[in-house]
Amino acid sequence: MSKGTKVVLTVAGVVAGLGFLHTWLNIGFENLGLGGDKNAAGEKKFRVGFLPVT
Amino acid sequence: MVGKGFYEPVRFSGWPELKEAHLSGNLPATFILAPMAMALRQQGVKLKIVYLGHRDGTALMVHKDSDIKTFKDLKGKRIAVPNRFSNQRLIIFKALKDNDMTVDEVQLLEMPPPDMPAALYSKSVDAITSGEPFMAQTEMDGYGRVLYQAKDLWPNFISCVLAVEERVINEHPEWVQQLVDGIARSGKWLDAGMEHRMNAAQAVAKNYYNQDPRLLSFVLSKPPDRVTYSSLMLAKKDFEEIAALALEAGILSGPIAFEEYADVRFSEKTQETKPYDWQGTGEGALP
Repeated sequence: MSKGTKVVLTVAGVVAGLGFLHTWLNIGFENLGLGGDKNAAGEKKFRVGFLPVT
Repeated sequence: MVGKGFYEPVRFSGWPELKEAHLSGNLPATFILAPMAMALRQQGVKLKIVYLGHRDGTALMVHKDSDIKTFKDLKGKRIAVPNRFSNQRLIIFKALKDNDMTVDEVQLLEMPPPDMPAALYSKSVDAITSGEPFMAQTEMDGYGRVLYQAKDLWPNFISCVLAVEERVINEHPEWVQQLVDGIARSGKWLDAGMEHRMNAAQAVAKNYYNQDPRLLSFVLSKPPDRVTYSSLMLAKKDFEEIAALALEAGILSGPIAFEEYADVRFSEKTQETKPYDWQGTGEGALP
């Protein structure tokens, strides 16, 4: 493998890693389809939003 | 197996925040304003209405000293509504039509429901309308008067519906069915007697709403049909009426078929559902 190819692959790897890290930190694994439907405590949860109106 | 505690209620303080949370994909199901759910679906959001949250539960209030006695007296007055996508805005549109009036004859202001009691107290608006308990609060505190309950203007009024992401419906219909069954059973239990309603007021005020239990007790009893919970199945004609008014009010950009935004399968299975047998504790504990 040439030096140029190594540099390109390393740069691509770093960019991909940073992209993944940003995605994880910003929207979480759930939205990547990697974490299932779990809450912060790792329990399986089905979240239901509501306003305190009857 | 879906067990106790699987469903996690997440409380919001405003409709826009709740809508954004749903759109972000972190809230697979939500109680949401019916016209808002229909408009979101029309805008391409993959959700379906699967059940109702309650019926009625809205009032049109005026100040107790006000000379407004009938709907026609609201001509030229300022009326606060919760949101442009709310059914409370549509109920005003419907009442205007029923009274041969036009929307130009009143001034509609958008206002978060928690701010409405103070606005009525200070007379900065002439009338307010939203879901309970904010309307009852003005009555209980002695400065609000009911001009109309929702049922007087729009029988079997629908405000909140349960909307679920289409992905979840397709991948886990059993989760959705269990949630809908639970709401149906709770609703039938609530409407089975005043004692149940008073127990629920204690439990919900303390565990979920963070409100004065006396206020919820007032809402659930004065009168007993101020809010109803036992007829929550989806009915096409109800939604077609909402859609027609929403189109007129500019909430919907064009006609939308009932089947496009509603999935009646879960609702239909609740027909034979029995109420919970919980007797309540009166101390705010839940089963």
